[in-house]
Amino acid sequence: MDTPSRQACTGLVVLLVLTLSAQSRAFELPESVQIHGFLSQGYISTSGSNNFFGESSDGGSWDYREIGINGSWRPTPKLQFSMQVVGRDAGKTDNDGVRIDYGFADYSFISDADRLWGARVGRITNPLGFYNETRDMPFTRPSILLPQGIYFDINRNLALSADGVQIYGEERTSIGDFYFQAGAVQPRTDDPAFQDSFTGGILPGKLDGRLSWVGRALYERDGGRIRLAVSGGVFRGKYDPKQGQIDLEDGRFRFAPLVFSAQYNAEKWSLTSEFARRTGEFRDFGPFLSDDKATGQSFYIQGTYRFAPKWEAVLRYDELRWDKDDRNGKGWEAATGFPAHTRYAKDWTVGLRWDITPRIMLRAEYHRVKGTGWLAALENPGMRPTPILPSTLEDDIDEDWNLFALLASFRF
Amino acid sequence: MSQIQGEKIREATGRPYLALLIGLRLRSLVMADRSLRPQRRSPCLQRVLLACFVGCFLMVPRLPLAEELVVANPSAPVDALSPTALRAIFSMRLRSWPDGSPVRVFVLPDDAPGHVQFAKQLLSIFPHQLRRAWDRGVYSGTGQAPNLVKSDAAMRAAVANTNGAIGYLPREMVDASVRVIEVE
Repeated sequence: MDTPSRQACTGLVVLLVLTLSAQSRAFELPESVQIHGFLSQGYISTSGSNNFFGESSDGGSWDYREIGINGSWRPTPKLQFSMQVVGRDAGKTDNDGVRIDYGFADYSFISDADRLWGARVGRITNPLGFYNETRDMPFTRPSILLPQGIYFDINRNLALSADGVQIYGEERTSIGDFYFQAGAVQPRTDDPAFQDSFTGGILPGKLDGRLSWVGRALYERDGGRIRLAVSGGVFRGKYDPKQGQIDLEDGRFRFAPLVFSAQYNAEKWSLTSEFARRTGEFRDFGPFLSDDKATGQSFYIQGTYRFAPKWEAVLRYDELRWDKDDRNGKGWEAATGFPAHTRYAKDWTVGLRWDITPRIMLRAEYHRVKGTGWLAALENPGMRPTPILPSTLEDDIDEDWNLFALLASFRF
Repeated sequence: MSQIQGEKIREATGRPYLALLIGLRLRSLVMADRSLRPQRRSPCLQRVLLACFVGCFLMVPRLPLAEELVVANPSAPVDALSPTALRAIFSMRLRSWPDGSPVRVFVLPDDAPGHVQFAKQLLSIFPHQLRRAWDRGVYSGTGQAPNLVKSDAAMRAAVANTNGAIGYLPREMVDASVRVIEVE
């Protein structure tokens, strides 16, 4: 077990002991301590031989679990310590076990009725779009799977949180509330599917995070009736080559997402849309890997309708393009010989949510997808984006496919 | 604020329709009773029905809703809060009273009529928005959840017995054990 996992396990044990102690009343936790958590089990079934979160095309996959526990302690109103430990399993894209999703100290310099300003230090969730910060907590998601065009799960750890400092501010004015966050961080590059998407599963070495930036400006009117946000970041990393068959130099990658978000909330329904543009760049890897730069684009439009007190329905169209200058992937196919449909995905989703109690939720949803842009090559060898592998696997993956998912979640 | 006005307008336009339905129902009941059914509708009965109908029309919209008041522990250092401050407190974003002491927020379950009424009337937001704001705080580590109480009686006891507590109660539940906070 490597060191981060061991730290995370220790964290989990500490939190569990605290929870049990609080419940057995062996000793009283201070009033300013809170423990919360969630537990979730999913089932995913896909058509053809396309796999998502496990071998889902072969009779369905139960290999999608999320367990999280978090604790927060607020010794004074100005100071809060928070930590969340998560165990997550999502097919081959995530089987790394337990990890610390966030753990930081938060100090507010200014706090009154009209404003709040402060700073956080530690591992902090990245404020990207509306859903990123709590993406593992099933109750906070609009559907079982977040719109994959923007919140793709193959680089979940990289997207979710990073280590560093963050300045935040809130101004509550007569025309609405303004929220700002800006952070200087070192990104996490420990996602198996993210490492794989770069190394193709066969290159030696790994990617490490370097100094990066992330921030968001958010405007809320009438306590969130209208929400508008712009968020973005520049995530940078460096390749750490190890001796192997191929001599690569210590190249760099840069990943810069920019997300525009809008939401309208009525009592019974909500309308949400987000648009993302991201540039990805790889350079300085030496003669064996040419520099590569592409700008991708994604958006989704989503309606949710709370048609009965414990029920919610969702309808969404979500579109992902890995390269806006090669929207249908034809250029990619010509250049690499690999299927064009791995470069985009158009996903229609319908879903249903039933909150049996405030703590127990059941969900079902159906996706009809054209394109395989957000499937992981790690689980679908047919879409390997490297010319090094023999291309005998092309017919292993379908362009038109569908996905059915079920999820049961518990929270406390 | 526009949202509250919207709710009021909806109520105001919804209720006369209800009154009309009640009026028609009353009338059909009266008419169905053979002993009361006149050969020719008597002017008297007509007048009574009309009066009933108009009465319903005028009275129903004026029936007071169970009014929720903001209440705090008697130790609370303020008598009044601005709507902005109130919303910041119940969204779990304003963590302290003006004197720096911690605020402890108490709420009823999301679907309790008193909670729905309080959120819509006094905070001008829907309970599902509050829930999302709390969850965002709790599961990103940037906030904490409010304390949950099961009933108005439990709410009163909790607010009365917790330093720095704030909550809400229907007017008829308010007594000297808690302090009413004006929203202005």
